[in-house]
Amino acid sequence: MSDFFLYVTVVLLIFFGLSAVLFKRNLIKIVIALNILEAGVNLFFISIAYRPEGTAPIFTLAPELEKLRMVLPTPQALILTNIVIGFATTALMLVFAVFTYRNNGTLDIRNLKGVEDHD
Amino acid sequence: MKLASFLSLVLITGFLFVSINKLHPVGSPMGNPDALKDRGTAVTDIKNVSTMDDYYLRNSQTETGSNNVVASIVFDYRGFDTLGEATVLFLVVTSISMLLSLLYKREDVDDYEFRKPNEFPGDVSRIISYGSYLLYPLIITFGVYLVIHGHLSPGGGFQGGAVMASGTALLLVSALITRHVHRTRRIFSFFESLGLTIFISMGFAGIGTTFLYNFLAQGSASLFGRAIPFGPNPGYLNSGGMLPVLSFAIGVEVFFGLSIILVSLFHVARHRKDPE
Repeated sequence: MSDFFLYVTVVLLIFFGLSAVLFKRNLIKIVIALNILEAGVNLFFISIAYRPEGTAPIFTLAPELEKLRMVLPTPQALILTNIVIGFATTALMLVFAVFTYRNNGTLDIRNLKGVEDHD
Repeated sequence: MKLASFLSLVLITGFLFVSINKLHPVGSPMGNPDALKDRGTAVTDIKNVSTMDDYYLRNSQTETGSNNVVASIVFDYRGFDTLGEATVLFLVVTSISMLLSLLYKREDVDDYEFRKPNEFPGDVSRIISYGSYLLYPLIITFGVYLVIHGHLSPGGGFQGGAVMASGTALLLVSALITRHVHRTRRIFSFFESLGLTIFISMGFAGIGTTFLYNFLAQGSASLFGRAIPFGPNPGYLNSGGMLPVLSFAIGVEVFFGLSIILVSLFHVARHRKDPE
């Protein structure tokens, strides 16, 4: 299992994020939890892209070709997309939280208007 | 309801834990090593079966002229994906700006005011005020460096734009941008739209082959067309074809888009009216 510590970290991050999304009542905390979940997904991409003794996939002043080992570039490009989209969605969710607070006077999702108690 | 949440949490986490055993170990080869006997040495790993990544690493320099393989993927091989990403960012900025403008009255915040460093708003100390004046040009310079050298070194349009937007955040917390929110947003939204327009028109400029075709690579050396052979090199600024132009466009869009978000959120927090 020691080979898989990064994957275990990925699963733990997703677990923490998901449990907070499901059980927390504060909208701000839910947004933070979604960010933690997203960090887990990003870490997963980085983990599968890793190569031993690999440098960053940039040829500027890189070692000579015989000794050259590079990590995979495509997951990094995907993470670049994911980070920007994550930032955008986080900002949008926070703005919705602002509107929710102004319309309901609370951020607790149990006390929103029109929400019935399901417990 | 709580039971269903708990069950789904346990199921998803358990599924993820079980599927760990099916993954290859971190950093070790994946797939069948025997299938690669005749492929010679790949750049990523000798026994690595990731043909797509190996193709990118071997051919990005000769095809796109960019030393940074990640930038060549983002702006060339997956340029259409990046266009969609920029569109998502543009839409988010538009909706945030539209939603937050409902929250404050126009006459409250529309008078123009820019604080000089010797005028203190009262809640900002002299150290913060002068320190911001000192730091802001450095932050902007670093962001511009990241954008311009996006095809040579770590960085690119998104990162450089985000760094420059952190300069806007610095100006906001040090109260150097105070009350001219509508004018600021008008200027910022013009430049944000300009960035996306440059991106799309560069895509249409290469429409003779495909949309977003890198027609500047292997062209004239004065137009970023310097041919780069495969292998390490010290980095040439006039290489990369269309990548520096697209990186600049994305940098402009990200900088002004994030600045609009920051300014809008800051003014809602500052001019908050009590909920009725």
